[in-house]
Amino acid sequence: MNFDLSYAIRQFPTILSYTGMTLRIAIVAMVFSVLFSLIITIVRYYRIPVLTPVVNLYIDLFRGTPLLVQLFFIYYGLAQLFPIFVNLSGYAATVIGMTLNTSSYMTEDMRGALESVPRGQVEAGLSVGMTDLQVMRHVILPQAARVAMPVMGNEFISLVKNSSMAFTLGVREIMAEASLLGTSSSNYFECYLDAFIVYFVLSKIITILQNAVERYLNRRGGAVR
Amino acid sequence: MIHVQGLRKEFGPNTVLDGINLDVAPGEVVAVVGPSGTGKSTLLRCLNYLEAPTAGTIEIDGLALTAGQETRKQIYAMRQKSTMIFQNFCLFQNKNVLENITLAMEVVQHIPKERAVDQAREILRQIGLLDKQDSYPSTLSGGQQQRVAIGRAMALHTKVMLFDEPTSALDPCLVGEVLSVIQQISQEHNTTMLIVTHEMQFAHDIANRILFLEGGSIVESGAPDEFFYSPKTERAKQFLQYYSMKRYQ
Repeated sequence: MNFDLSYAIRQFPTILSYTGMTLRIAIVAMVFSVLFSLIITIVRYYRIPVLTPVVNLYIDLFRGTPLLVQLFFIYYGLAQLFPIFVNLSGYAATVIGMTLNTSSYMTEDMRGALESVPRGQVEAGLSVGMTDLQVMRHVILPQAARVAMPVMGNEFISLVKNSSMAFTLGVREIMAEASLLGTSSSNYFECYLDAFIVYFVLSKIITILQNAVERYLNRRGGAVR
Repeated sequence: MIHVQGLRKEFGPNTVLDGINLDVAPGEVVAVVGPSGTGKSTLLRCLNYLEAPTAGTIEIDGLALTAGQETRKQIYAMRQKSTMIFQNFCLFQNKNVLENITLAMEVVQHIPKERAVDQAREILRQIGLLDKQDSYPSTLSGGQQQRVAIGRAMALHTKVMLFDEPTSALDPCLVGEVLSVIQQISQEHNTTMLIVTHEMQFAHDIANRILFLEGGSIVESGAPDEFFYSPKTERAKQFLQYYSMKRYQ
């Protein structure tokens, strides 16, 4: 058993420096996921004809298959069939794949949050003359957002962790760098230990931030009932 | 002001409103009483179009809608003719007291923010809650929440206000403050009111007319003194007897 602590420490800054790429994937995928989930959640909430079954089929497909398979399918599979996808970068394919994958779960969180807002809130809005859309925007969404906040934080942490699969599409982020350094030096343990620590600390920091945001929201406006 | 003809509402196999005909004059205050589950709330909810009637015509302030033929636009227009005060207040939980009152003024009536805020403050002063303008609903007592809900309705200056058991969810000691606010509005403004209530003394004091509903129909309608002291129908007599045993007089 030989563990080279000094190697681990020396390589740590290098691996850490790829945090930017990891976060970039996670943040961009998170933004798209929230937007996309919101759209499909509203489609399902109002049971819009034609679109609802299409959306439900998509959710079924993306929940029923592993993320890695989805990423490969988008990056390698689609390029073979449609020339337009040949120019798709590994980064873009990762963001698309992770958005589609995350949204298929996130929509369920959002639906739960929307349905947690009492029916009386909708009726109060309608009774003062607001349209359905205005009630959604001014009354339902803000309350649902508060309810959804903790779950959204967890989804983001999942994105950060799952972004490690991007290395299979040739994106250089934390995991890719750790693998590369590990292979070239055969110090696998040291490199993956560094990656381990970086991911863990990242998750912790996000959790702390998430709690702070929740505390702030609760102070401002009292707890949701 | 309100003209209802042949109003029916069915939920599946249940007929909740069985052909209601009703005329309410401008400024008239009508108390709707009757046993639970006889369609009193449903009547109000149909007037505000929170429930779409199964059949019949509803006309408020010159706008007439016939069941089955109404467009979305007409429904929105109809809802703007009246405001509803709910049993469980239904204040917007994500808005503070002031915002609860100004939201519809700004969004629906397009009143500029500053003017809306001024008017909302004036209303809060009238209902005695100016010091609570920055509080959120969850920190208020039931009585205070209901007063804010009434303030939210007042701010829109609709000609019709619909009260759906405004004091039923309140502690007995908080009922008085809400009733006195309602009384105050009926005296100071010429608002047409329909009030569903189980407070018989209050109904007697505030209303110009009592409407007694049972089984989805209007069984008796008359001036308060007439209804309470010499009811004509057997069912109204039974109903009042039950109340006099319970709490009235």
